[in-house]
Amino acid sequence: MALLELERLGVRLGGRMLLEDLSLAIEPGRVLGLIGESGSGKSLTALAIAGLLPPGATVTGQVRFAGQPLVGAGERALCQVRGRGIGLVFQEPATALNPLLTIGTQVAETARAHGVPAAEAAARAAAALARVGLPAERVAPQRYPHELSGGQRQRVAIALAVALAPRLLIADEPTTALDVTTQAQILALLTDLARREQMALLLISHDLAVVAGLADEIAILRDGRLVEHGATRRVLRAPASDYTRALVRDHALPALAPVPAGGGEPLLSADDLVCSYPGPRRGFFGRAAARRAVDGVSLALAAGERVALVGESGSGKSTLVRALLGLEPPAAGTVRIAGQPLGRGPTLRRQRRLLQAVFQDPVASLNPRHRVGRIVAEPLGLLEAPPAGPARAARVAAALADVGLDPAAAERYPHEFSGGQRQRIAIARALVVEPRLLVLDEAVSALDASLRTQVLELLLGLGATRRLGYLFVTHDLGVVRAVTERTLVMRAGRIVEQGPTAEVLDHPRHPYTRELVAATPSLERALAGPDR
Amino acid sequence: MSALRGWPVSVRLAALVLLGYALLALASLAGWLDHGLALDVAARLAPPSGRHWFGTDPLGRDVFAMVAAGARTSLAVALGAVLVGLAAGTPLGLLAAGRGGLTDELVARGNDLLFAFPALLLAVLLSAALGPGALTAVVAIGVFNVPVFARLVRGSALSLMTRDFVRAARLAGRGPLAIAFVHLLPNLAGLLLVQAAIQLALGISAEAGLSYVGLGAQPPAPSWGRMLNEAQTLVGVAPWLAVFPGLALALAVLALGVLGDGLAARLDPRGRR
Repeated sequence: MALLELERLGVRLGGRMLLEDLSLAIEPGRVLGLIGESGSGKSLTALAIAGLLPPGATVTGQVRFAGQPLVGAGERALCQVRGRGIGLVFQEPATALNPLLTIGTQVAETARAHGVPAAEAAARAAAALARVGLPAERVAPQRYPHELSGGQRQRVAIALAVALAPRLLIADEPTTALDVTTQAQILALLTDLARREQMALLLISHDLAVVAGLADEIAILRDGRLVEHGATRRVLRAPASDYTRALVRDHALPALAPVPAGGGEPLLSADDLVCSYPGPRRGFFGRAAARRAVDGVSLALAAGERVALVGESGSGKSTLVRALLGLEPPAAGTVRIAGQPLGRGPTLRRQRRLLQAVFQDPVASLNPRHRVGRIVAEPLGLLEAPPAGPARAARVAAALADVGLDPAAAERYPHEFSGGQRQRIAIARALVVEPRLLVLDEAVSALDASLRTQVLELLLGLGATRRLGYLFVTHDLGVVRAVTERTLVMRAGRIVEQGPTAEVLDHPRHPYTRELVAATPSLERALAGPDR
Repeated sequence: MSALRGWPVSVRLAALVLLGYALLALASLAGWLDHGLALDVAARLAPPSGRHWFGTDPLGRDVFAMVAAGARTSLAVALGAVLVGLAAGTPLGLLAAGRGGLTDELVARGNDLLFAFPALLLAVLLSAALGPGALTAVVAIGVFNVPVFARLVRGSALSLMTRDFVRAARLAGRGPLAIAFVHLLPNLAGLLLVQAAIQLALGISAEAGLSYVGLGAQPPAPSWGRMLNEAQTLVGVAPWLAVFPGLALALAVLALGVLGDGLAARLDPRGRR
């Protein structure tokens, strides 16, 4: 008998059907991957199973856990099932833990909530922490969440979920907030726990490669409906629906159109750049030693060159980008644009005309109170003779057309657009002054796979037609391989490896690069193995 | 009235009450109630009636007309004080956020100093220097609004400045002033509005307090605080002398508080449905 059965599960919230007619089953000890883009209803499914839907949601259909119906069950019965029967792990470990309790107390809490006496609960907590790779001799249970790294915090969250040895673990995007190398460790931990403890795992993700490598079965959701369901390899090798085919196709990124490498004087260069942050205050006047976020970085980008900057969070790549853009002054070293050090006034304007940027989150990078036309026109002030009136509107319309948006978009506000369209608006703003080089700071990380492909194709097209170079800052090696010719790998404030992209990714020399390449989930690798 | 649609009943009521005060103050300003302020010793200490809604005082003046005129004084002083706070606090906060370092430190310590300084002492000092009166009250209350707005603006501006649209504006060649006016202030406006409603309520009660001890508006300018003070000795004989200005004061502060809460709830994106 199946451990968990969803029978025609539906969720209605605020007058809209967010989930419709979903029927699925998970056998004990198996891994089911639930795939979908943002808004597809996959997180809602997890909440519906656990009975944690927001107030005002109405549920139709039935959820059966080990034969027991959960829809319509009382809060007491659900409390028994949660924790003991079903464990949950969420995306953001930083908010899943109480910052004021030690990790040992928090894990013991779960056990105590289910009537385990205090002394035994502490012992269980210690055992649970050891099971997730945080034994007391390495990470004491008396530590607080803020003293741990992101990966360790996610391990604590998993320990909370598995402390009472539930028979089903639901993990909702458990690694999306983590670095690639940490992601690999957490995924290994989850599958290992599931195998060893005969626990069924419902793995929810937007990342096809993550799920393909782990799940026995896969279910694909779109707009609250089940599109396809079956054995992972069968579904992904021979998709039955157009949507799944598109998902698999978008996952394989477009091939790079080769462009002759730019020669001559570098457009952007940095010379022994150091950026540091002041240390914490010590006493009234003193300060601890400054922390060097960027520690002696030199680089040069020729006109039209497409370069990737790869590194995990905390490696200093965002700080480096801000220094390159002249947004934060470096502590030492110089940034040159077109051979001249970053200047002030008219010089800086001329330099900014050559170098523009697109940031990670289009929600944060567009002023919510301005119309798109005003947003896109903003950099026109950099020109020596900024166009006015109809000429200005024409420039804006041209920039919007370049990124595939209707010029009528200029009259609307950013919130009226989807995430991918908003990122196009941000790109249009960067392109309106016709720069020679774009800095793209994680510019596609916040986008779903299909949108990511569209934006990358757009950038590739612009690179080919205008010889627009870019510095692509990312942690996604798939993107790096698809759209850049040269790769720089950054770690702890230094460039530890650089070279042609194919060479760096296929024959990494530095241990960190090797780790990074090995940790990157690959759909091809996952599908290459024998059927399970 | 269509502007009020979608707001909770309490907020709509508060807005209506405040509108009533504004009309009352305007009527008083236009002189429509001046006949009630004339002395009429024959009608002294008359209880509330159809002729004198709120009764009369020992000099035969109409208490309703006095409360209306008091609304004028209270609102004017409190509004003036909020404007002083906004006009000085907002640029200070923006400056502190934008420049950082020593400027930020100086503004922060200045704010601490003002917060630590007793308000009443400042009012006494100011009336010694400027002479007591409505203007003194505006300055004394306004000075204490400055750090409130400065801190609010500094904190919110700092968090806005880490948003990428401000970075994008700098890349677009915008100078600090343009960023402050084009990007920061419009995004701060809602927050400032909420704080202004709260400070207005505090300002009205502060004005009444200052007038009560004789440091606010001077006779013959009517004021709720002084009416309360003068009613003290007669409260057993003519309770209406204390009740009506007291109610007017309480209702105004309550309405502004409710309005401020309503605005804050509406502006908080988490509360939006």
